[in-house]
Amino acid sequence: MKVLIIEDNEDLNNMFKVAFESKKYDVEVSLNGMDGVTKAGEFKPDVILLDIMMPQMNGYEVLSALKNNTSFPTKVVINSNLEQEGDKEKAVNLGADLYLKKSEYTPFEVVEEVEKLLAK
Amino acid sequence: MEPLIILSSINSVFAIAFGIFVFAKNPHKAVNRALALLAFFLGIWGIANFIPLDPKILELIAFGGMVFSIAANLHLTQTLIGDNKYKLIIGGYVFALFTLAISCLVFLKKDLLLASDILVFNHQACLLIGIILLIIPFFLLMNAAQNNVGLKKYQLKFIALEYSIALLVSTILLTLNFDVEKNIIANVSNSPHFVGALHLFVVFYLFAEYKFLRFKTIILGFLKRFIALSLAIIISLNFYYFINSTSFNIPEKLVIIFIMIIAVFAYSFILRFFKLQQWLNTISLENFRKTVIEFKNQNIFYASVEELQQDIQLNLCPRAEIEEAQVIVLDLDSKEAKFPQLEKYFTKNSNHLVTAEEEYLLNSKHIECPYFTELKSLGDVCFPLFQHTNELIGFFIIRKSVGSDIYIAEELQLLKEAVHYIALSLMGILYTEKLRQQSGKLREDYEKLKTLDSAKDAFIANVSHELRTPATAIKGYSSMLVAPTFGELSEKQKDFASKIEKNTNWLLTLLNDILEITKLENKQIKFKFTKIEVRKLLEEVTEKWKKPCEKKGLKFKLRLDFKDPTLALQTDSEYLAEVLDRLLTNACKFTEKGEILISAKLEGEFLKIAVSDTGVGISTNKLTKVWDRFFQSADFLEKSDTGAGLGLAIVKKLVENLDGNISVSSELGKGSVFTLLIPF
Repeated sequence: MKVLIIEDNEDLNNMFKVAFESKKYDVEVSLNGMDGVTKAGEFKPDVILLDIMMPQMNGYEVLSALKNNTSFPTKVVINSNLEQEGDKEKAVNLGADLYLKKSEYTPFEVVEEVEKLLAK
Repeated sequence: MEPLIILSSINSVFAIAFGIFVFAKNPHKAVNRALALLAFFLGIWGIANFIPLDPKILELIAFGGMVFSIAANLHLTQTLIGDNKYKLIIGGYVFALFTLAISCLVFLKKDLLLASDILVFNHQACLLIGIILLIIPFFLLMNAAQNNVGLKKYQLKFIALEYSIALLVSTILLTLNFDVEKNIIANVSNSPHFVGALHLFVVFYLFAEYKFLRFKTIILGFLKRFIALSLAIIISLNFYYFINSTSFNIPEKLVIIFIMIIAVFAYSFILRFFKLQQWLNTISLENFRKTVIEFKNQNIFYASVEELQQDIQLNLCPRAEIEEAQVIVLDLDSKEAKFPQLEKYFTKNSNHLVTAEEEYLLNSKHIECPYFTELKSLGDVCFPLFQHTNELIGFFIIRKSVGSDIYIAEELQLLKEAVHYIALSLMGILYTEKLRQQSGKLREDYEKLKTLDSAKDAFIANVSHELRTPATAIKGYSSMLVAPTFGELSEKQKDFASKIEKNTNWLLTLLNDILEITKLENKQIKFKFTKIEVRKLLEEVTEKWKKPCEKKGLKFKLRLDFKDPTLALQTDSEYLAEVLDRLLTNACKFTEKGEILISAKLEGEFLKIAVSDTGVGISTNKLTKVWDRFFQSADFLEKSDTGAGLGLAIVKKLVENLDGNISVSSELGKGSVFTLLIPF
């Protein structure tokens, strides 16, 4: 299984990378949205773990860029601390498959949730 | 003696007595003065015609009339100038009686020395005394006019003119009535005649000297008084010829006398002819009292001084013969600097008012106050307005209607009551204004604080949000540290790592709670009301909490006391679930043994959900405080390892937003019950 982590905070990015690798995932990371979109095209991951608040291109923009391609099969899991009213709704409307609040899950729990999603 | 003569004599005596009585009671009132004069005419007439007295006595009476006239003028002058009215009234009459006594003495002496040179001398003496006595009050009047006692000069002149005419007419009539052949009387009767003419001369001199005449007022006043006096003379003449006539018998004459008395009252009507409407309202003191009482019983709340003034102009002025009334508000802050003497004056005489004559007194003490220049004529009054602390807050100035009379003591007393009402109203206005200013400032402060508060909230929200990223990293890494995936740690290290994880969780909960309550208080959360099945919601909650509770050794029960399995609520399921989660978090945290129970049943238009535990409980005195932000019961703290005291504050806010209600009952050591009421 291939996972692409798009997260601007290096430590968090690395944390999720380690967690997914420990579960035998093929992991690619990206530190900003722009790079993330490019890597998604090249790497063709099964799932993307996507942050929202990022410089240059935020998570929503990344999401709509990816989902514009109707044949895009990759699942997208939003992993963010944003909880403004309507954030979750907005993400789901743009085609996100799962919305996780970053602070509420440990990395392994995130992996578990992703696995649950992929099993569907 | 003929009965007709006796009757007429009695009438005459009564008429004179009536005249003196009416005049003495209120010489300020034109109606009183006129009635007194009329009665006096009638009296002299009656005596002169019906009693075959010695001509000397008749002459004495004529002198008496003159003396009366002098006394009236003197009295009036002194009343206007003096400060103690009663003392001067008595003084006036003493003076009049003294004059009378001198006249009598002269006549008695004259009788003994009839047709001698001494007689001529005495006649001249009489004349001289008469002139002196008449001139004295006129000097007083002139003096008063020059010192500007508050009397308009034309008013002085009209008072003088009125008495001059009266005196002149009485002199002429008396002269006509005496037998010219009896030369003593004719000579003596020339003296009042002469005095009357002199009297008139003085009046016209004053009249011509005055530069600022108000013609309308003068003509009106003159006409009014002229008509009144003419009527009196006509009535007198008619009476004279009528009594002398042989065409009527006595009963007929009595009926006609009665009619004449009515005519006397008709005089009042004519006197008031030009102010008929006002007269209808002010004819009696009783009406005046009614007007004042009605006015002060209004108990209106006035929003401004203008409104108060308008009400006075509308409801008090027309019926109290006031042409113009003015409420003047002192600038309370600078008053002391402006009128120190004035303030002292009024503090000493707190129940006082300033009339025209007192204004003169104040002026002579060099108390300069622009408001007193408002007093333009006799009868105008300046009332001080005091607030409850006896502090001067303003003046109430009354300008009398043109042609009306000055107030009598009773009327002034009544007016004082109206003024008291005005002072109270003014006080209300001033206080309201002050309050409005203060509340405006308070509102400003409040808005400022609100802005600061929301800035603070925004700051807290931002900081909390920013803190979450590093906290999430600590939480993630420490959780991975504990997991065996990346190699085993020693027991100690594991313990430390799990403590890091636990505290990070606490920190995150705290940050999340702060963010949530901030949003709730700033109404940034939108609630979405949808239909949800109660049973499903509660079963989901039970499923989530059953395990962790049982792990702790607690029983967890759900009891549904309603029959309809599809019973649904119109509410926000996400936030209702959060409320239950938060309540159950507390229940689970603070209960060591026993059970946790969720029960639900219908209660009117509400669904009642109760979360009860058998935990530590909350002491009674702290029960009301559990909803406060950052409140932590000490009993809680002992058992608590995590928590910021925001949970229940959030619960309360959420329930309010769901249009519900939450209450708590508890007993220390036995457990707590949180009861939710959610509307359908």
